[in-house]
Amino acid sequence: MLNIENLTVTLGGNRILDGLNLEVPAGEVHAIMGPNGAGKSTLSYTVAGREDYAPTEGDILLNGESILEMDPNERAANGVFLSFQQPPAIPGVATMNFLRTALNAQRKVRGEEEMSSAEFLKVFRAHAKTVGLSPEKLKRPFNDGFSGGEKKRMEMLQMALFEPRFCIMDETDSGLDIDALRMVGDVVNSLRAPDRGFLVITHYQRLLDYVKPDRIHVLAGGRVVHSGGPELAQELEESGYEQFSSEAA
Amino acid sequence: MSVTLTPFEERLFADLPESAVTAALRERGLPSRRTESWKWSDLRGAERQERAPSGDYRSADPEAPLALEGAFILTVKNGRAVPPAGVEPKPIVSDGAKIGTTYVIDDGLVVSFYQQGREGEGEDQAPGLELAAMAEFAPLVSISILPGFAHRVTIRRLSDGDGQHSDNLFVTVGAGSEATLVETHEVTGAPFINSRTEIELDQRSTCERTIVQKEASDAVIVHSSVIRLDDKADDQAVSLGQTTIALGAKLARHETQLTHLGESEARLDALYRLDDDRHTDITTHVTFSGEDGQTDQLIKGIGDGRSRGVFQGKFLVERGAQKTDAQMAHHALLLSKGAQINAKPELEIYADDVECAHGNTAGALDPEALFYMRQRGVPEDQARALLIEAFSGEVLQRIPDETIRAQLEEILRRA
Repeated sequence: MLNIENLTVTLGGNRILDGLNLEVPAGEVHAIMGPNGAGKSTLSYTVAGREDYAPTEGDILLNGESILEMDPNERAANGVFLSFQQPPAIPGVATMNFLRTALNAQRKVRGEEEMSSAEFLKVFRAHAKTVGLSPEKLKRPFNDGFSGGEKKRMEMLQMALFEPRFCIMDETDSGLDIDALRMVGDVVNSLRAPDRGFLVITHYQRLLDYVKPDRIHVLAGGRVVHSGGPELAQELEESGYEQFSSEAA
Repeated sequence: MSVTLTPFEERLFADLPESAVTAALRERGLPSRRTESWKWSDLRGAERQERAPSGDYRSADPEAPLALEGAFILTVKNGRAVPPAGVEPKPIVSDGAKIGTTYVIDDGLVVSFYQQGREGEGEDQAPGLELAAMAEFAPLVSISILPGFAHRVTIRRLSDGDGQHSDNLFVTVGAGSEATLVETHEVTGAPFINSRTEIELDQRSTCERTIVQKEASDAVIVHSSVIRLDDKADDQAVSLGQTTIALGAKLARHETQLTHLGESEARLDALYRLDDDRHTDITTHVTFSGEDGQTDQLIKGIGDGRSRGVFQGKFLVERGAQKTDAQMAHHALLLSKGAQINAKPELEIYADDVECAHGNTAGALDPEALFYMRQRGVPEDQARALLIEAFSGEVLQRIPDETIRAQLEEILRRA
């Protein structure tokens, strides 16, 4: 599914990712945990193809194909979805118009038929209900006046709507209450499929109570310094990341 | 100290009647970067070669950029108003001599073409205001909406060639009447155009005005508007809504001089969208001379290429103009490194119980929003277009007439 090989990314003269290797097989949920500044968000931006995050070394393969030469929208059409840590508000851009434009742009790249307004509205409303966003909110410009929690719900709505092949969730749990965490768990679990992978980036164990990972990786100093099973989350919660900082150095 | 006139100025001033304005123009020349209110729109520098007065308009009539259903359309070709078809002309006689022709277009709508503009008795003008005064010498066309009527009027200014011409329009919106006014500048070629619209809004009247200046890369366009809003009567305040859509020219200046005589409301918006080497100057000067005047202004600009956008806004609150409420905002979006925006908000206040505010920003498209939209699958061009449309949408949303709004969106989409 997703193979990251020797990924090195330098930002402002600092090596943020330093020869990172990671493999997430299809059908699995992997979690990345690590201290602040370990490079977790850089990893998610690099996979998504943000400008200025082009790797100096290494490769990112999705189902065996390198995605490095693809524009962000091509990566999206190929199934890469990033749930943003801090999704922006986009004043003046109507939510449904934007998301239907996005969905149909993806479908066009994939050679699929456009989704009609009526069909889109039906699907969109169903997902809105699942994530607990009111129809009034969705008539507003994108994320306009949304709380942090509502923005995260909007991320989950889109993850369900776009049905991506590979989902990266960058601290989706931050700022969420228990009910919202459960909702995130429900969305992820409903999307789990043999041909879909997830990379869940988090600081804390609590999201992993709702989204059961197959593997957990510890990111420190720009590379994966330790990997283990689901039990690693509890261990980290108790002992912290200190023990891995020395390994990274 | 008098300047040496350029060949353009020599020829332009030669046809003006003797007057204080003409004398001042001969003395100072056209406004230039040395004129405080024209420092970013160097008219003198832009025009040096001699230009003859424009001849007949020879191009085909373009498709109207903005259609207003049921409107009376006045067409002005190279500065000369075209008599309305199918309406009986009646002479206007003064002291036994014919001085013009009048047309009753409809109940409560009268248009009069005068053979002359203002005679030479005009007063001297402060530097920078000469162009508006100069246009007054052109033959006057008056449009009157009589008290109590509602009318829609479109004024299409069609220009071509490479000569120079002026036009001089006076619109009266009578007491209690309702005007919808659309003015367009549609230019082919490289003419020099000096337009003037004077508007008087009598008590209890309302006017919704839209000005569209389509792109005219080689033309120089100066359009001065002089507007007076009458005081409140019978508990009803005069209200003006104005939106200028300017797509730039070699040099374009849209200047509005607005006076609140008392309690009245004005929305004075503009949106300029520029590319290549085009220039647009939006200058507004609002005078509050009575109590309870209210102006709300939102100006937005989008600059691409090596274009230059200028906004100069001034609020002058005179002594005694208490309870004035004046808001001015200018926001510019720069799409290229070569684009330039100059802005100068000014408040001059001589009353103590007023609320005046101004805000001004300039920046690029939000990179966070752009990346976000691309991550969701929207190609970059389309994402940029959506963000630009969102930026300009804020101005268009303030236009109450939905059909006008939709047509303006289309004009901007094609720009």
